[in-house]
Order: sequence, then structure tokens, then C-alpha cells
Amino acid sequence: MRHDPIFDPDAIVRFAYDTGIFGFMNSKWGWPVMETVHFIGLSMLIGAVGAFDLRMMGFARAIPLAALHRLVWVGVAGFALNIFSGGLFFVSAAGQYLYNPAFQLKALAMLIAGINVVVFYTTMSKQVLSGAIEAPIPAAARVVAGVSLISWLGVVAFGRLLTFFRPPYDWCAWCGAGG
Amino acid sequence: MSMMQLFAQIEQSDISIWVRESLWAFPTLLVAHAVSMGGLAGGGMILALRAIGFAQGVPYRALGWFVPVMAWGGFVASVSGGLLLAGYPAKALTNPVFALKFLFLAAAIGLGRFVWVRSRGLVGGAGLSADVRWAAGFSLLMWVGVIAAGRFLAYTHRLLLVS
Repeated sequence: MRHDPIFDPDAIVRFAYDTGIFGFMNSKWGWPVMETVHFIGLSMLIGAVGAFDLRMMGFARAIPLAALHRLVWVGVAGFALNIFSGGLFFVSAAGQYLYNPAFQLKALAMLIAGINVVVFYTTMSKQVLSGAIEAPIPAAARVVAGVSLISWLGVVAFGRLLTFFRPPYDWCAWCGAGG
Repeated sequence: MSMMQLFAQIEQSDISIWVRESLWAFPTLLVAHAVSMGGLAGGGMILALRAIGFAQGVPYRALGWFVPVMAWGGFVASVSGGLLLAGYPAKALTNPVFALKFLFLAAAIGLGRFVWVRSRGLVGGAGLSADVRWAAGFSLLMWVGVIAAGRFLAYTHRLLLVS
């Protein structure tokens, strides 16, 4: 088997095993219950943040942008649920995620979404959110909104595609030649 | 014709075989169903949370914008869900959890509609009556139920005529 110089999926699963997470997740209802939590979190995230993104892209201008922004905490709560439930999936089957091209693309989409969040709150959120309702939305903010919507929808889509791959260890793109 | 013969006949139709055997049909339908769920259930949960009393600074009329989002989500979810059902009618229709999902869905939409009709005209700090807030609370619970039942469909079926 090839050696992974960066990640040690076996050690991660051993951690899950030692902490009881593995046992819980592989009990009769562990995985389905956490998938349910994950899908509820997904709905909260897309429902709140997706709507805010669409408004900032220029749709539904009758709605005050700042008013929609007050619902973003619902999306943050959904994201927190998903980090929790997603973390339980990941540690219970680390190899199935690390070497899965759908997971790699999902992680990339999350990274882009995360950088985008930082860009929004450090460079433009104050100006955009304090503007009058008729104020035109700056082009940069529309781009940030579009990137946010596409990257979060990408996270959902790639996440849903995860189960179509059962990656063997030799799918590891960054591992050295077999030893 | 018995129910089971009908299911078997549907499962031999072109569209049913396409859903199951095309390389991209099933994954695409699942992605469409998950994304549209985000729009429909997400919008429904937002409306319910506002009516319960969260985010009081948000005017009710601002929430009207979630209605078309939910409508689009509902449309895409119906089409993708209908095709998924066409792929595995016996698997879904012999599972009581599937009926439960639609019971929850009807309740979530019915209660949500009631809450929306009673709240959309309110302005400023006008409050909602207790019955409307209770309805909102139950609709939130029903949305959670729809998602939970839907997710559990993958684990609770007892019968597969095709794979």
C-alpha cells in the first residue's frame, strides 16, 4: 500500500474508535440520524444564506438587505450543525473522504466560500448593509454574493455525490509510489 | 392487477430503467432533490422562525421573497422526487416512512401557509396571536420531520424488486 505523507486516515479512525464515535456512528441508527441532522443544517444554510446572496445579487430589491442579513445566524447555526455531524462522518471513515474526488471538490468549494465570507466582512459588509434600500449594490458585492451562492450550492452538490465513489487507497493523488 | 404487479410494470418502463441505470441520471436527481430541499425547507423554516419570534427586526413583508424561492424549490423537488419514485416505486410505496414523509410535508406546507396568510399584512412591531405562533412552531417541527423521514427512506425499506 502506498504511504500517505500528509494524512493518516487509520489514526483518525482509531481516534473515532477510542472515543466511541465509531461505535455510535455504526450502531443501527447512528449514521442515519446524523445524516438527518446534516440535511437539516444544509437547509438552514441554503435557506438563509442563499436568500441573502440572491438579494445582494440584485433580486427582490423591495426587501431591505440589512433585514435579510439578520437571518444569517440561521445559516451559521446550520453550518455549525453540519461541521458537527460532518465531523462525525469524517472521523468514522476518514479514508473514504480523504481520497474521494467529490469530497476534495467539496472541501475546495468550502474553502472558496470561507475566503469569500472573510472578504465580505472585512472589505464591504458595513458599507453594503448600511446603504439605503434604493442604493445600488456595488459590483464587487454582487460578485461576492454570486461566488457565495455558487460555492455553497457546490458544497451541497459535491456532498451529495460523495456516495457515488468508494475510493480505494490508491486513489490518493499525493501519495508516493507503493512500497 | 395487484399493486406489486403494477410496481413491477412501472419498474420495467423506459423512464424507470433510465433513472436506475443511466450513469448520470440518479446522481443528478439526488443533487437536484437536495438543493431544492434547501430552498423549500430552508424558506419554510425561516418563515416559521420569524413567526415564532426570532429576528423581530425583520419585517414580515421582507419574508415574502422566500415564497417564490420555496415555490421553485418545491417544483424542482417534485420533479426530481417524482423521477426518483419512478425509479423505485416498490421500494418507496411499500415503506410507511414514505407516507409519513408526505404527511409531514402536507402539514408543514399547510401550517406554513396559514402562518404566512396571517402574518404577511402585519407591519412594524405588530405581534402574532398565540395560535399562529403555535402553528409556526409545529410547521418548523414538520419541516424537520420531512427531512428526517426522507433521509430515513434509505435505511427503512423492506422490499426491493430491482436494484
